[in-house]
Amino acid sequence: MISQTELTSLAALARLALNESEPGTLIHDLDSVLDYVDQLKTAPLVDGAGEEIGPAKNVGRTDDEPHRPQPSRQFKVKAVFEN
Amino acid sequence: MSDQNFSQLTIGRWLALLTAGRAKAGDLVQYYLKRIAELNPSLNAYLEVFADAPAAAAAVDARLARGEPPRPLEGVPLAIKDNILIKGRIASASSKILENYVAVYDATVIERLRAAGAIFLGRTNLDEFAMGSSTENSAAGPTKNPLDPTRVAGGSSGGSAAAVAADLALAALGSDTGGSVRQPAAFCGVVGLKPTYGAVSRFGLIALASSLDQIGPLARTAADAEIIFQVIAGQDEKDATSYDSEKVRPLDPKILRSNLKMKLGVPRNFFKTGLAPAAAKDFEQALKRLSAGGYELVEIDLPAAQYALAAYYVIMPAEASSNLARYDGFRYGRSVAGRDLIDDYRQTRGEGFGRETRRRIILGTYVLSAGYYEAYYQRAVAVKQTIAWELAQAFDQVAAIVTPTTPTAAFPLGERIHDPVQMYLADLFTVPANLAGLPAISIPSGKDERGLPFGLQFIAPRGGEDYLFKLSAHYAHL
Repeated sequence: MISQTELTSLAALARLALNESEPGTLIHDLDSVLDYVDQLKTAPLVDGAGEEIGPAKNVGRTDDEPHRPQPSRQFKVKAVFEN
Repeated sequence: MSDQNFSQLTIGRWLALLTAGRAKAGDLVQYYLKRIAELNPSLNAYLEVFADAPAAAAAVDARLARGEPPRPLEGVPLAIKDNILIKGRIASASSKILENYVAVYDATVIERLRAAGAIFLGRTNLDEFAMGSSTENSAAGPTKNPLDPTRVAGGSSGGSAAAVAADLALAALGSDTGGSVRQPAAFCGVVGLKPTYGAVSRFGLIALASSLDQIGPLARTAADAEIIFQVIAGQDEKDATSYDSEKVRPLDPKILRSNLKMKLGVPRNFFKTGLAPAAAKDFEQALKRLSAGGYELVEIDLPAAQYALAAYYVIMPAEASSNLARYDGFRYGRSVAGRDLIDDYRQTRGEGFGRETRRRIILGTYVLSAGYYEAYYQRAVAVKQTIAWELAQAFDQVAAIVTPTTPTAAFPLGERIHDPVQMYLADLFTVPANLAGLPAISIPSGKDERGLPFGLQFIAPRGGEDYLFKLSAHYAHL
């Protein structure tokens, strides 16, 4: 169950103004969806399924030496203004 | 050439007419424009018809008159879902927040279609930001089903499906995050393909859930869907998830192994709940047809697949709430002034986003927030991986999996709009292919006693589009 306080806080996090008549129906709708997705708790999980198909997560560049000099990306262009 | 000859045309037949010099692109475009003018006011499939379509057709005719060889989609008039960017055109995603946003570049798929000779007739209606299963969540109002205007066209690519079904375009593009190409295709009696994740570049597609979104064709036949797929597929440096289909497709030993070619998996436990009696009856008839056509039907068990929709309604809103953070009233479209900067964001988003979009943003914010992230988001990702794993296991035994596309035929307008879970259940059978990144196609099956169509869904291993096209074409002739 989502409380009115939680909804206010979620709306603030999401930068979303809710109109005054909305919270009641919105809480009802969100609860019905959360109630439906609750069945995930009983879903069977296979150990190692992640390894089988590869983990679904973002892979970023390693931060081994963040301050090492990078190759210059600057290049010279023709003068834009006449002197 | 009389208009009658263009009725229910296919791309294959069109190209034959064109190369034989028996038809002009200008006439075909006029045929569709006339039908759109007649039928679109009641169907609401198109949000905008492009005034320059006749000029594009004239250019095609001039090209051919100069003796240039026809390109793969020469003069093919297409409808484009309004979440795919066409340079210089409004791309609204059927949202108030983007109602006046003009695209500053072409999506990769648009570039490729243009280079192949296609003509763009207009942009089609969708559920706002592709969030929905009925096109009723559109700021421009719902699209009606051409086969019964009291019913929904399905969604979210409802405008594209209706345009093809009502003969308002030769074919169309849609996008499929949880069933948004296949489900409306089934409801409108046309073919819809969701390609393998990464087969088609999403550069220029307004993102819903980036780990699931794919662009796919809607067409009258599987052969037409294949022609479009071959034009739009392929690696694109602007979408890092895209891969070189030429490199992946031949590496498909499971399908090409001849002893599997005629084996189809039927996951009865997966779709036994929720399937309406008329849809079940239609599906059994389709199975009989496959069986008579020489296919061996193998019962397979997919215990995790029935949790696919629940996992989807955690992962998709989580990604959507992140993707939609960019609509702040400054970088794109509508802007509403508030008390201060934060209030500008709040007012713009509160006013610009529709009810379903606001619901999913809040839901996504909830499942990603501290204390709920593990219970919802991580659990859903683990279930997603289990589903992908069990589907991969199934493809050791069968070449493809066959299911009904949807639990019911097209439902009446307004029936589910106030009950989100009932609306979401329309995607019950289509979501697993998105979670596992697999290609899946919906082709017309039978009809119910009202004449409303059902769809038959085939799901193949990654890169198995070729097999889906062959299987679908074969089924149509059984």
